[in-house]
Order: sequence, then structure tokens, then C-alpha cells
Amino acid sequence: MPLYVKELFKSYGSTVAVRGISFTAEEGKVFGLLGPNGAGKTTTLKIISTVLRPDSGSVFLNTIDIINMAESAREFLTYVPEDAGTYRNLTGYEHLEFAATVYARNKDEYKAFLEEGIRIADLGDKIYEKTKSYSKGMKRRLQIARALMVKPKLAVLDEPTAGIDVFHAISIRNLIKDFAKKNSSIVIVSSHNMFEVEKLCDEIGIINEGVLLRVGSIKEIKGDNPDLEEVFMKLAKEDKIDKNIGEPRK
Amino acid sequence: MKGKITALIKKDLLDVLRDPKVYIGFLLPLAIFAAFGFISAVTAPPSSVPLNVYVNKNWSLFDSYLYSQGVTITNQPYNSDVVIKFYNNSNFITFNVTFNMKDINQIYYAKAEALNYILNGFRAYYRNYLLEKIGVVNYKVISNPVNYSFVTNINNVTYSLNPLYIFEMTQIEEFVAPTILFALCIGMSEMAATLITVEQEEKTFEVLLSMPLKRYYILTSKIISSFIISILSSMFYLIGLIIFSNEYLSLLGGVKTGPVFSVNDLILLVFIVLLIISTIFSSSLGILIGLLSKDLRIANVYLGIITIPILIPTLFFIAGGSLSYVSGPFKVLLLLLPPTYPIEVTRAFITRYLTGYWILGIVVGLAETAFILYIASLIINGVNLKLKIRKEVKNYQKS
Repeated sequence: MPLYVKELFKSYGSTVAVRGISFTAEEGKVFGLLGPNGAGKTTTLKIISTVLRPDSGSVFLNTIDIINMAESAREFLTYVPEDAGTYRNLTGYEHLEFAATVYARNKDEYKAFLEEGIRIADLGDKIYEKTKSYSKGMKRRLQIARALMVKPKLAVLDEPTAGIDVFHAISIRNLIKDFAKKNSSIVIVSSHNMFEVEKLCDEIGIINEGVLLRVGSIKEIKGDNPDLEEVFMKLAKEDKIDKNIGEPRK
Repeated sequence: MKGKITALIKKDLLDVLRDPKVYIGFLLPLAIFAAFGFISAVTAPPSSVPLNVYVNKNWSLFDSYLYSQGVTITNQPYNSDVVIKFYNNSNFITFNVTFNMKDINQIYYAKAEALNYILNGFRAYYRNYLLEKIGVVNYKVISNPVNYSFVTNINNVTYSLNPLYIFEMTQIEEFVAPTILFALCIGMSEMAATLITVEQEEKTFEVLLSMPLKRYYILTSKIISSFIISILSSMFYLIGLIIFSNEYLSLLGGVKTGPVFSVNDLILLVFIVLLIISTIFSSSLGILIGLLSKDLRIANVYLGIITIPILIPTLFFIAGGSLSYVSGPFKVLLLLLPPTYPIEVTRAFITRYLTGYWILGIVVGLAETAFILYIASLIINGVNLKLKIRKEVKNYQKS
């Protein structure tokens, strides 16, 4: 069940956030969108997760048209926004209960989702406390657990480890990698952290100013360069030169 | 469907009602109304208005006193504001104030006040007269030279009540419904806007939008959640008003309010229907504001603006207004505001006469609510409103 993203365009007023982004993500793999702040990563992820409608372009999860059949597509996908908060006066357990109620088709599935959520969140007794007492890392774990416990075909995670300490970040990265492999699901993550992307993703797309500069495996993209940072700087520079001479990008 | 909407409502209610700060807002009206009732009672001003009094037996002393107070004594009962009847014992007088409930207004209150003032004055005058001119030394007569009691005729039914108290009760009848409605409408729009805006701020709304939840589940759950919370809040307003009215009446003489007014079933039904429509209208406005606001601060600015149209009919009707008193643009404005209609119907609790405005109220309320919810659903579905309007205008121009 691959994900096909084709020629996405999205503007906010006169600002063009996404300019013709296209890529394919395979099942069982983690695909990373890598780029600086304001590059168009979040807009792209919002379109893929049906929160936003693009001005043009298409997104297909296998044969499901995510843009025009959003209601059906939502059964198969979950989304964790960047810096997503929680309902402060609800416990972690109640958050998971809510998600299980929304996604489960029967009682057995509801129970299984809930058990899986508690396992992934790994918050111990804290799961029964109100989330206003949670640290940022705990909240993020809860969000990831909410998104992965229902075993979606497509999980869209915007900056899953942003602002989290190293210890929690490693644990979340491992969770995501294991999940994609075990469930043959597609996980799309975004990040501006080159190191994280290298550790977490099987394939990446480098994005800058709304344009996808290059797509491929880490190895392909790195080539002879020592790290992704170097690659990104080179690509961004080339992109700037292209724009200055007015050549249309494909 | 039911399970998902219930889960959405449960989530909203738990999140709001577990916050202790919410209860400050609930309990505040209790304190305010208690204080308001006390202040209103102790500061109720005596009124003096011209009175036309019919006296059924000639008592020159009383007549001359009335004359000295500027009261006109009429020869016909139907020309009078007040009918005073003397019984066998000249010390026993019944004051019979007759009026139709639909005519009751501030003037009647002032007349009843004036009558009280005159009678108290006559007591003192008569006591002095007895002491100086006749030399009566009977303690009971001197301490209470004129015994009087009130009866009030309402629509040809006689009640052993002071007309002042009747008026107080009608005031409360008219005051309660608009105030509760006001609390509900404001509470609904604020709560709905807050429920959405907080979710927008926390980005939990984006999570909701990505879940397999139909857009109308989300809208419906927000309306129901804000309705439940506003009803709770309004109940505290209601308790506050009961405290207010009890204090007011007890300080004014401790009248026991009986079932003087019976609410016609149709009037009550119409009132409830219009109340539900106007509260859902307010909630929809709140939802729209929440969707258009990036954070709670901006939502509060917008809320301040929309509170004004909700406030206009409420204040107008609390001040004793009616749709039949106004005309021109102000009437058009009132007719366009759904909260106008349930308040207008509350007058029928007293007059027992339902004007035809309620039918218009149902149409206006439903149409405006549907329009607002349509716009809200477009925003939730990520439709660019500016582009949509441009497209519609172009289509219209072509056609």
C-alpha cells in the first residue's frame, strides 16, 4: 500500500507554501521530509493527513484518493502535529480511550488498541494522571502512542522529537522504526534535524522554500558528501541559482 | 455515530468541568444576585403620581385628606385607578385595585406606591385628629387608627394581595426569562468559541480533523457540550435570581407568592422552541468565532463584538420594551436577532396573548443558524472562503 504524492501546490494568500511536491513512500519504511523552518514540510504533512486541502495535486494511499475521499482515507491514517498539546484535564488513559473509541470497529479492537496504547506510551501509573502534570517528553510519547496504537496504514508525524531530550528522543525514534517494520505501515516524518533523519528514515526528501529538491535513500542522497547538512547546503545553493536565472523547476 | 459523538462530548465536558476555575464563574451570579436583591429592596423609591380614587361612602375627613394630597375623587368606579370601599366598621377599609394584566406597567407600580404613601400619611393625620379634636384615649385606636387591607382584581379574579406585590412578581417574571436567556446565549457563544479556540491553540483540533470523524460530529458535539455547560451555568443564575426575588419580596413585606400566573402550554412550548433555536444560534456564532480565531485573545475580541447584538434585545426587553413599541431600523435589527423572539414571548407569560412574531422567530433563527453552520463547515473542510465567494459572485454575474 504505497503513498503517492503528486504535484502538490498550496498557497496562503500571496505566499506559496508548497510548489509541486511529488514523491512516493513505500510500506514498512519511514520517509522523512527534511528542510529548514518554513520550507513547507508541515503544509505537506497537513495535506497528506487530510487536515488541509491543496490548491492542486493529488495524494493516493494505494488506490484511495486522500484529497477527494478524505473521509474513507481517515480510517487508515493518523496524524501528530508539531508541538501538539493535550486536553489538560484529561488523563493519559482517557486520551487513549478517546482515540480507541474513534478508531475501533468493535469491542475487541477497542480493548486491543487501548492495551497497545498503554504499552507504547510506557508511562506507568502516570497514565492515570491528568496530562497537565506531564513533561513535554511524556506528552509526546502519549501523542505517538495515540497515533500508533490503532496500527494505521499511514502515520504522519510532524517533528516527532522536537524539543525533547536525547533519552526520550532515542526511545521515540526506536518506537517509530519498529512500528513501520512490524506493521508494514508507512510513516512520514518531518524534521529539520539532519542527524535525526539519518538515524530514523529509510528514505528522505529534501525540501526548501516549498520545493522538493531531491528524493532518495540516505545513501543515494549523501553520495560522496560527509553528511546531510553538506548536501542540503549545496542543494539550497543550486536552487537559489536556478531561481535567479529564472529557469522553471520541474 | 452515537459512540463517537458521545466520546467527543465526554472529552469536552471532562476537560472543562475538571477545571476548578470554571466554578468561580458558576458561583459568581449567586453572590451578585443576592447583593442586587438586597440593594434593590432597600433603595426602592416611593412614587407620586396623580390618582383617581372612587370612595364608596362619604367620609368627609378622609375625602378632605385625599383632596389635600392632590388626589382626584371620582364619582364613577370605572373612571378610577383605585376603588376604596368602607365596610360597617369605619375603621376597616378595603382597597380594591383593578387592572388588566396586559396593561400592567410602571405606571401601575407608581400608583400602588402612591396609594401606600397616602394611606400611611392618612394614618398619622387621623391619629392626630383623634387626639386633638375628639380626645380619644383608647390605646388600640390610637396605635392603629385605620385598619386597611388590600385586594387586587386581575382579569375579574380577586386576590388578597397588595397590587405592589403583583407588580413585583410580574417584574420578576419578565426579568427572569431574559436574564436566563442572556446567560445562556452569552455562555453558549463563549463556551463554544473557547472549546474550539483552545483546541486550535493546542493543535488538538488538527488531530480531530485527521480522525475518522464526520465534520458534523465535531460541530454537533461542540454545540451540545457548550449547551450542557451553559445550562449548568444558567442554573446558578436561576438560583441567584430566586435568592434575589425572595430577598426583594421579603424586604418589601414578605408576600407569599401563590400560583397567580399560570403559563399556557402553547406559550411555554413556543418559548422553549425559540429558546433552543436562539441558544444554538449563539453556539454556532461561537463556533464560527473559534474557527476564525488563532488564539483565545483574538476570540475574546470577536466575542466582545458579537456580545453586543445578543445584548441589545435582552437589555431592551428587560427595560420593559416590546416589539410593538418600536419601528424603523431598530425594529428590523431586533427582528434579525434570534434572541429577540423568546424574550418577546416571555411577555405572553403575563399578558397571556401570543403575538405572531414567534413564527418569524423560528424562520429567522433557523435560517441564520443554518447559514452560520454552513460557513463553519466550509472552514472546517479547508475551503478558502475568499476564493469561494469570488467564484459564487462570478457565477451569479454570469447567470
